[in-house]
Amino acid sequence: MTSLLGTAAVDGIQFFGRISASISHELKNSLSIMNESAGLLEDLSRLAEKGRPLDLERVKHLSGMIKRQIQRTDHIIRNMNRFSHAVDDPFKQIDLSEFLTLVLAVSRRLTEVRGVTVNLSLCPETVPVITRPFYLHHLVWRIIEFGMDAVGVSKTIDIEIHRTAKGVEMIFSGLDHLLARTPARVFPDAPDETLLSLLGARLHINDQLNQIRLVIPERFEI
Amino acid sequence: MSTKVLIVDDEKDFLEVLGERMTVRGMDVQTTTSAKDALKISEEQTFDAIVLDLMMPEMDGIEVLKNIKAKHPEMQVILLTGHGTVEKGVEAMRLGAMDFIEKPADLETLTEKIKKAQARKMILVERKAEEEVREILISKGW
Repeated sequence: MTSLLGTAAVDGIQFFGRISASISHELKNSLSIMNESAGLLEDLSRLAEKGRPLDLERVKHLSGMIKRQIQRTDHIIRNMNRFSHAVDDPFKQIDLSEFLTLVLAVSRRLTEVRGVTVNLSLCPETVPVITRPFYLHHLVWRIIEFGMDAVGVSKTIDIEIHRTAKGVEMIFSGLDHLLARTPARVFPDAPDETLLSLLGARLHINDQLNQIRLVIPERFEI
Repeated sequence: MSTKVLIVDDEKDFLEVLGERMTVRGMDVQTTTSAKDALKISEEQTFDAIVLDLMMPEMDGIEVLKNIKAKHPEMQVILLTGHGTVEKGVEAMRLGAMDFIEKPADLETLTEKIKKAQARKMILVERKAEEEVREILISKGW
């Protein structure tokens, strides 16, 4: 168990770094828009001082743009904060719908640059599970990352959550090229197996239905 | 003659505001959120500089840079990077980018780089023209 945790920790740090870098890129984009908007307000003020009439609608539009970017930045930082806190408790009760929403939010930029959309069908009720949140986040990301290579022409991965007798099931579908792709990596590989073991989870690849199914226990206990 | 610039970035608001600021400074600016459209536009028109975001959906900035330089080696490309990785910037310079600048960019610094790009492009175009004239003279035996 110790060596599994050690391996997962090393891979986990790399995963944490990758997500953090992606989040920082989004923040930079938001800052750029605020920077240019503030700069344009300065430009318009200087022009007004030289006698050019100030377009108030333009000023309102720019201040609205800055406000939107502040809200966007705040949202990104809140998600980043929640992601960072996933490592606080090794075991925790989480609502799986809310959890997967966060996973998709913090990895949105990484899926967007691949031109892939990931949709989550939200459950009408909460789906509480006791698990290891950080390792689950890492494993779900690894499935999405693999899925981006196997996704069909729609470039869309759909995720559904179902409660079953054997645990809680997450179904990743839209993976039309599961068989056809020449894998950049074997799936599941050693890091995936480590995470599955640490979560007490099982993985099924169904190339008939173009799906990957991940089943985790509702209540994981060592 | 005003400096002609194409800005390529997937953030529409960024393009709108930066484009306007550069227009106010006398530049002739076109913008696009799409890497594929950028390639099409660069086929149809010449620019003194192309300001290109490194991380975009569809196609990343390095791919766009390679495509542009393959068909128009004289085109000057300045990369905008939010990633802050020097490695990517160095790779881009190796592939023919004129320069790179980290977001959020200082407009005065960006304008300086665009002016340098314009000057460099003029030199390359003049050299190409001289070469063509030389070849004609040689081929005609004059």
